[in-house]
Amino acid sequence: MIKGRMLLAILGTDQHELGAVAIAGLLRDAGFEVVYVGRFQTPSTILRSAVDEDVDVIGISCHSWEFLDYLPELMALLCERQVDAPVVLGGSIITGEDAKAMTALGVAAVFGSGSASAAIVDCISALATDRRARAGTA
Amino acid sequence: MLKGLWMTAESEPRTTRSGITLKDYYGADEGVLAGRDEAPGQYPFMRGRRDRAPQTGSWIQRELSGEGDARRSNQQFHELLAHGQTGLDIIGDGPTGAQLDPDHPLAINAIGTQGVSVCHKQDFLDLLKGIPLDRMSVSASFPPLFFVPGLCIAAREYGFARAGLRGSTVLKPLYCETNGLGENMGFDARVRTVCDVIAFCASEMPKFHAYVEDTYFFSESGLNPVEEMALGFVEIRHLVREMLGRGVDIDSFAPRIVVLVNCGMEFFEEIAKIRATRRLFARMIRDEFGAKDPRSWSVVITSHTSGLTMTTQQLANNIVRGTTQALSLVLAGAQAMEISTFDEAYRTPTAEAHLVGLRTQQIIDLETGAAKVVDPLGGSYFVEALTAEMEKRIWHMVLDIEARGHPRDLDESGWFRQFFDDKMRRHLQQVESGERPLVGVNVHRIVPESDTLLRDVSERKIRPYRQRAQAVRDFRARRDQAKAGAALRSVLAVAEGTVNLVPPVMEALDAGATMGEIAGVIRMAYGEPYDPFGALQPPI
Amino acid sequence: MRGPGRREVTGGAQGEVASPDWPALLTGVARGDRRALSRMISLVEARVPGWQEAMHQVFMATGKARVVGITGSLGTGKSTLTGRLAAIFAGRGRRVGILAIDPSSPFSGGAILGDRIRMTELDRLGVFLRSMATRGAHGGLSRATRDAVRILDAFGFDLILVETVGAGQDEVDVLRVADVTLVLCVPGQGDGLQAIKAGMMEIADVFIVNKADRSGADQVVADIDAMLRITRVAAEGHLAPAVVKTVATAGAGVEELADAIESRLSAAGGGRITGVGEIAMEVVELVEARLREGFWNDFGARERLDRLVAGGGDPYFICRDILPDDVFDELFAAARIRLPPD
Repeated sequence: MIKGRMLLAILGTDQHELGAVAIAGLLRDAGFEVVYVGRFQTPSTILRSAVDEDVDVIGISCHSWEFLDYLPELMALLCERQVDAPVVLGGSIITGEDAKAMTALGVAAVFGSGSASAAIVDCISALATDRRARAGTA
Repeated sequence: MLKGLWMTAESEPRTTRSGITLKDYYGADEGVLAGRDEAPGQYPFMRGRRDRAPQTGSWIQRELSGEGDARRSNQQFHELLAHGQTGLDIIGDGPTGAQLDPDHPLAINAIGTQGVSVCHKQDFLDLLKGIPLDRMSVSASFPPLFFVPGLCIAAREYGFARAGLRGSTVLKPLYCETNGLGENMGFDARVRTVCDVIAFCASEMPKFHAYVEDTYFFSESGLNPVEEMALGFVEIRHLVREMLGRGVDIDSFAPRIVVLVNCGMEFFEEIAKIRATRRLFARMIRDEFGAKDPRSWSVVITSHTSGLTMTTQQLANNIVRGTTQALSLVLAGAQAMEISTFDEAYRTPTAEAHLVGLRTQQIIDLETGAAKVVDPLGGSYFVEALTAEMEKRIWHMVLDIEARGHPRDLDESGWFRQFFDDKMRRHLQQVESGERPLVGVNVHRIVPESDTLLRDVSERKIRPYRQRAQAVRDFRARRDQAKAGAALRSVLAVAEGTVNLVPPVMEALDAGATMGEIAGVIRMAYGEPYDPFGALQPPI
Repeated sequence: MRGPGRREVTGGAQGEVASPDWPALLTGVARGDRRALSRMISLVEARVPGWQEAMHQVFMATGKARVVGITGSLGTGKSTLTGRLAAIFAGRGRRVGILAIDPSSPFSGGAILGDRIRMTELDRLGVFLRSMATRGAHGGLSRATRDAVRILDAFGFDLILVETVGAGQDEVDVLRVADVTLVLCVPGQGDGLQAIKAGMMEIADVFIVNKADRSGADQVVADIDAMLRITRVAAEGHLAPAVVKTVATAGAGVEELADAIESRLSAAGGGRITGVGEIAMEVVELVEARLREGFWNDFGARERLDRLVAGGGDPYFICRDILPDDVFDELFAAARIRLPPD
């Protein structure tokens, strides 16, 4: 049984956060199917992928400030279309203030700098388990 | 004897970042100095390109700059020059690097936040206004097919002779796509365009370094120095072969090759890396590629210090890191450098951070005397042993990679991508386990509440310059449409053939075409969609 | 604003798994609701209780779709080619769905599914793409792939592209679901022809030499032609295998490829996936899977096994211990009683 299906995306022209690739590998090693969509994603492409791939968690890797401007739009879109997969953000440029702002939007977890890999995987696993229980895929 | 044994039992094998085992000390019995009667300024240039040490200013002192729009960046350049910077190095923002115009839907949240937003002729004019292009080195991390023509246009408008233009342009065809700097162009298109740039500059801009082999950006994937230089040499060799295959004489472009190296924290290893690189390059260019001009044999080394070594914790530590890295570069004889600023982990540099970086270089130059002698570490038992070992290992890896296949196949089969992924994973694992100590991160930590020094500066943000989108649309509306269209059609025709693309691109920029349009048209010539994201229609 | 991540667990007490509303999902699939389609694939793939009855319903609604299997190793440009083909077929009025299969890690069971990276324009054309992992399927392609093909068929896609890496045995598995099979190779990988495994050589319908602008392309085509002459004898009324050159990144040759596929699809008649031989094989697999599942999990033999192995002994002995001959015979005697008379 797999742990879950996770979408991993990078927004706009944000350059490839090498951590995203590393996280993809760690999640795969933890038993996840990682749908890796890469760079140049927008809220609407993320929505399409999240629905068609029926992912349990939506992960966005952030290496530029574009996430600050895209996230409100993304969260609104997911809410409107009733997509219930939680959103998590990761990236060392995310400051404490940024994390607060994101959490206020409804982002389920923010992994800023200094986040240990094991903790990230555990958190995502818990979110996935939770969503799969809701969705009946557990 | 007994003492020696006791020492061995106590200490574990220590290695450099590349995995080279270190002895406790090195002596004259190393044998590495045999046959090494080498001097700076002479083949094979391990000890340095020049045999003269000026009192000061033996390297170009600059910080990587560019933010917002061209006008804002120009202002920033003048401020830095006023602080004593002696050259310019400009980086484009995310959309510019991806060859997308600011009005592309994907650019909207990234305009001018990580570099300067540039896409048309007026931008280049605004960018370089008031810069003495005949005396100042202007380097760029920009799509080269646009930077070189843009620079030429600005030179012409401001009355500078093209043949006197200095500076450099970074070329990254082999590894850009696998390192998040994709220009959305296929391998063949990328190689062709950079070779066109090298060829154009060889004849038109003899003082300009048209080929900067940037090992910095891809080695930020956690590569160690040996891996960094091995991949760098693989790329250099590929491009040299391509140029020779075009019938271009090696001595017409080899003198203008630069290697922009990374600089990590392991002090002596980075120095040995640079010395080994100079030696390997000289021997390769002369013996393997048949260059006859001594100026072809000595490669220029410049550097950007490692952003990966910069932390978000205890930001002031980064100033120390930048200092030791800069010192190693000075001792290694780098000809230009940029220090990653203390806020690097969060953003493109603030003015305060820029100043610290520049002052670091100036203090080293003016106060330490470290640059008063060329290759001061020459003859050091340790440094010579390390240099020789790195030379061996780098070359071994070069041959190993080349044996695996053509770079295009290694790119398309995902081999390079896997290589970078593995190294990044290794790096993260080493930091997490503590195997690689990172002060403030995995050792000597403090609680976030106490970690306030320099935080307010570093956490300032740049808002996207969204007004650029409309400004670019207005620019296009004002141009002579027929002329721009004709120029773009000309680019398309040339891109489908083999004639040098730089002149038609220059004409297209002159006619008011934008970078995104020109890049899109080149894609069409290679059978790819004009806009890889399907959002835009071709203008021709 | 509260977002989706903050919702409480519904459907019962904390930790309880919600039961899927199968009838609603089936209705959704019949009505063309993408989300229902996507959910159903997940639930069937996970073998959530009720899945077999649901697949029975799904099966009744299948029959319109035709399946094209595409195999090719890394570096052959398979993703790009699949995308181009899908775009062309969509442009020809077909409703296209793609299943992109990647291998699961044999160690962790996880997988990285990266096929969406190159599929940016397909969304505009209404093409559906679902990434699937092999999930430790013994034959390569998981059984769920076949189920997903049927669900896409019931949903209303009339052309389904199944794209696999072609490592090990899953190429041969693709043949079982596909009406037309394509195999991809490229010149200059050192292999060319050798990259095509023997099984594919015997059975594939269209051989594609992609990146045909590279040197050596014509040689690869000639090699394939030569091999086909030796190994394949065109059966009466069947189209001989085609060899097509393409440059997928430029779109060259892809229209011709689409034509070659179309002509073979019309020649194929009914969908292979519903052929008598295929159904029989599937039943065998389903029965075996049920037996396996039941024996080890429901029946608790797994625990007994763990205890016996910990106690020492060789596998042959332990096997007899877990399933003694007389129990084995009783089991089948009981089953025989239950089977309907001939």
